[in-house]
Parts: sequence; C-alpha cells; structure tokens
Amino acid sequence: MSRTNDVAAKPLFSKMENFKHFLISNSVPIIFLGLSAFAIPLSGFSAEYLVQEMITRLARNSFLVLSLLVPILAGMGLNFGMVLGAMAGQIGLIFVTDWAVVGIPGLILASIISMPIAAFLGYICGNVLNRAKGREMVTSYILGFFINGIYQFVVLYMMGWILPITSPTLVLSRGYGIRNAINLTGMRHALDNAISLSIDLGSETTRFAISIPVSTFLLIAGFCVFIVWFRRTKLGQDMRAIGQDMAAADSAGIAVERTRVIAIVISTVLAAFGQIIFLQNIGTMNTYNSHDQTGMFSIAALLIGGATVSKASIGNVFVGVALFHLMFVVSPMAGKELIGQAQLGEYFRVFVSYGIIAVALVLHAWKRQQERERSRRGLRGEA
Amino acid sequence: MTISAISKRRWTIRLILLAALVGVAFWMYEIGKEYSVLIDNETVTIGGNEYAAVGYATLTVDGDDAKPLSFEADDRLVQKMVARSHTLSVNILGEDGETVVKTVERRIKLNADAAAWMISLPAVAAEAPEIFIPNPLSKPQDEQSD
Repeated sequence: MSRTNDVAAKPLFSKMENFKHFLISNSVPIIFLGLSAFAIPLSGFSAEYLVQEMITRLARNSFLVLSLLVPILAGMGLNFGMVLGAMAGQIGLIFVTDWAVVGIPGLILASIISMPIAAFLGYICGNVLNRAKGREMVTSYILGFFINGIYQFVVLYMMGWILPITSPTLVLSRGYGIRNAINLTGMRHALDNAISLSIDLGSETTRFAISIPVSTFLLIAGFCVFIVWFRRTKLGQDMRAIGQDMAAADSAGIAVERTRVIAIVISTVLAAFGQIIFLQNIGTMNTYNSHDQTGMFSIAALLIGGATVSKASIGNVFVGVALFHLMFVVSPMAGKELIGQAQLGEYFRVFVSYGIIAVALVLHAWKRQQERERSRRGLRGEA
Repeated sequence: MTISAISKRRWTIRLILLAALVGVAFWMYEIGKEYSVLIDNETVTIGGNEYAAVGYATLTVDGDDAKPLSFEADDRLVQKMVARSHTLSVNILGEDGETVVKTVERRIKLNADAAAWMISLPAVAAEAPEIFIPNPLSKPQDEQSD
C-alpha cells in the first residue's frame, strides 16, 4: 500500500523530461515554424497575400488531407493509395466535362460517378494491403504506380474508343485518348463561390482585403463532424482497436481484414471527393499528372502538422496544410532572394517539398525510437 | 428477428440508397447540363409563314439583364444555357437602336439534341407557334425541339 502511495507522490518524469518530450513530439511543426519564420521576411510577400493564399490553400487541400485520417485510425499508416481515389475523381470530372454539366450539379455528378470507381479501387487496395500487413505504406505507394498505369491505359486508349467521350475539346485529334490538359471552366470555383465572403480589414493607408470560400469550409467542417462521429461508432471503435493491437482485436471477435478494407474504401472514396474539390479550385485538370503528387503533398502536410504514422488528429490536418503551403508559397521567392535566380527558386520549391517529406519521416523514426527509450526508462523508473 | 430478415432489410436499404443515388445523378444532369444554343436573326419560312429578320433587338435569358445579346439583321449568335427550361425575353428596338418598340417573352424547353436546332429570333419576335429551325452546321435530325 505504502509503495503505491510512493509511486503516486513522485511524478514519473521530471519537468525537464516532459518539456523535452514536448519538443520531440512536436519537432516537425516546430522545425517548419522556424523555417517559415526565416523564409517569410526573405520572400517579401505581404501579409494580405499570404493570408489569402493560406485561406485558398486550406480550402483546396484540407478535404484531401482529412481523407488520410481513417486508415491511420485503423493502424494502416499513411494511405499513399489515396491517389487511386484521386484518379477516380478525375475520371468523374472527365465524363462530366464531356457531358457539359456545369456548376455545383457538375461537381455532385462527378462525385457520384467517381464513387463506385473509388470504392472498387479501394476494395482492391484494401485486399492487397491485407496481404502486406506491416508494410502498408510502401505497398500502397507502389500500388499507386500500378493503378496509374491502368488509369493511363483507360484514359489514353479506351476513352473515345470504347468509353464514349465525344467532345472535341477533350479527345485527341487521332480520335481516341484524352488531351493532356482539360479546362474545367464550367466548374471552376463552383463550390468556392457558392457562398463566399469578402472581408476588407484595411484602412485608408493599408489594403487588406481577403475572400473566404465559406461553402468549401462548411463542407470541410461537415467532414470533420463526420470523422468525430465516425470514431464513436461501432465501426470506428473497431478500427481503433485494430489500430492498437490487431491480434487482440482479432481475439475479441472483430473482423480485422474486413474492417481494414472498409477503412481503405472510405479513405479512397473521400480522396476522390477531395480531388474534385481540389480541381474545381484550380480550374484546370492535368489529365496524366494532377493525381501524381496528391498523395505525396497530402501526406507531407499531415506529417508537418505533427501527425505520425500511427496517430493523427483533425488539428494536425489544418496546422499541417497551413505550414506546408506557407513553405510552398514562400520558398521559391525566398530561394530566389537567397540564390538570385528565379529558376533556382523554383528548384528550391521542389527541393523543399520533397525534403519536407524526408525530414518528417526521418524525424518520425527518430521520435519513435525516443518514445521507446522513454517508455523503457519509465518502466525501469530511471526518469 | 432472424438473420435472414436482417439481411433482407439491409439489402432493401442498400437498394433504396443506390436508387436514390442514381436518381440524384440524373437530376444533377438535368439541372446542370449546359446547352450551346444558336440564335439566328435571318428571314426564315416556318410552316409556310415567312418571318422577316429583326433590324435591332436585344435578348436576355431568364431575366439576366447583365448579359444581353444584341442583334442586327442576319446575325447569328450563340448563347449558353444551363438546364432545359428557360424564358427568353426579346426587346425589339426601333431604327435608332435604343427605343424599345416591343417586348416578347417566350418560354422554351430544350431537348437532348439541342445542337441540331437553332432558335429563330424573327419567329420569337412574331410570337410564332414554332420557333426552332434546323441548324445548318449540324447533321439532319428526325425530331424537333418543342
């Protein structure tokens, strides 16, 4: 009894130890905050421009990044297979553009078309990942390349030939295959402008006007509410149990493999919707490349927000998107100012994008090792 | 409740949801489809009646006064219309090109092969029963828009 009281009275870790733990846990966002603080003044961008860019990019990318949360809940790591959903979304947009359906109805129709395609691809992905337990991330990454090949075959050879696409603005002059760039004029900003708010915070001497795509943020808020609700459902609790310990969940009677497949299907379908929201904001679709970097950039953003392969929250999504895109916006100009050439600034942007992912993953591995050592020390009572 | 009854109920709900989704898809197509409609202001004969080209006119679709189309005789302009039902409002202008002599409103409903037809502005101005004429740039069609 007295022994228990002794343990309760003495904190497991010292204040210094806890502070160190806080720094290690949030090392990725802290590093990128530091980098941003260094790069923003160098870039020379105005506060108005940066705030507007962040609002636009939060609206554009948050849905895509949020789609990564469900597989993390199920312990499947970062779903690089979300590019499958992005491809499904693009197929939906190609059909809708061919049928000349515009505005919000066009976006909804594209979502409905992409839904079964994304669900089917997610089902395939989920089943493949069930055969590669513990190596989900690299498997889904390679699967993305494989499905990309099929996507290119369908879009480049079957559309306009077997699949009825007739619009001359879409089909290549040879009579089949889709052009490299598709203009989404009819759907451009359809969701963003459905409800938008313009705020002028400037004075007589300074200009500070920003536009907020309220409708897009409402949709993202709805998605956040869905995730919070979903985590409390039976399926959500099953996923959490699987994420914590697959063997224990299996022993408890949870259909582990089925639940994992459902997690990937949900993520892929949501990624399809996310890609449609992303492209309506951009206004142009690069048929063969738009989906390529979707996974990379979304995962980088989530990691920068402080998420890990095994734990992510809604807060990580928004912090990550803001920090990643802040770096994305300021790095070319900062690079140009540092090096003196615009082209080198552009290379600097690419370097930063991929470097971010590498740094985040390395820091994640280091953090995991530190966590293990910390818990070992805690068990031994060495702290 | 037996397992088969639960399964049957579950499948019924799934089928209803699927049908609802398909229904929403068709509805979205219907309300979001954009048609490029040619509006022709040339002298035309429809059903034995000749309608002379209008000298000066403006046309607005669904009361969108911000984007009026201005016509002179022998003009042929294209107007994009989203969904099938629309109200055309034609202002026939006097010789000065400003005074509104007459205003005609006409409800139209486009069909799927709207590209095969064009709207005759003189027929609209004369409040003719038939205002659609074949589009010479398109393949001949058997059916006509109403």
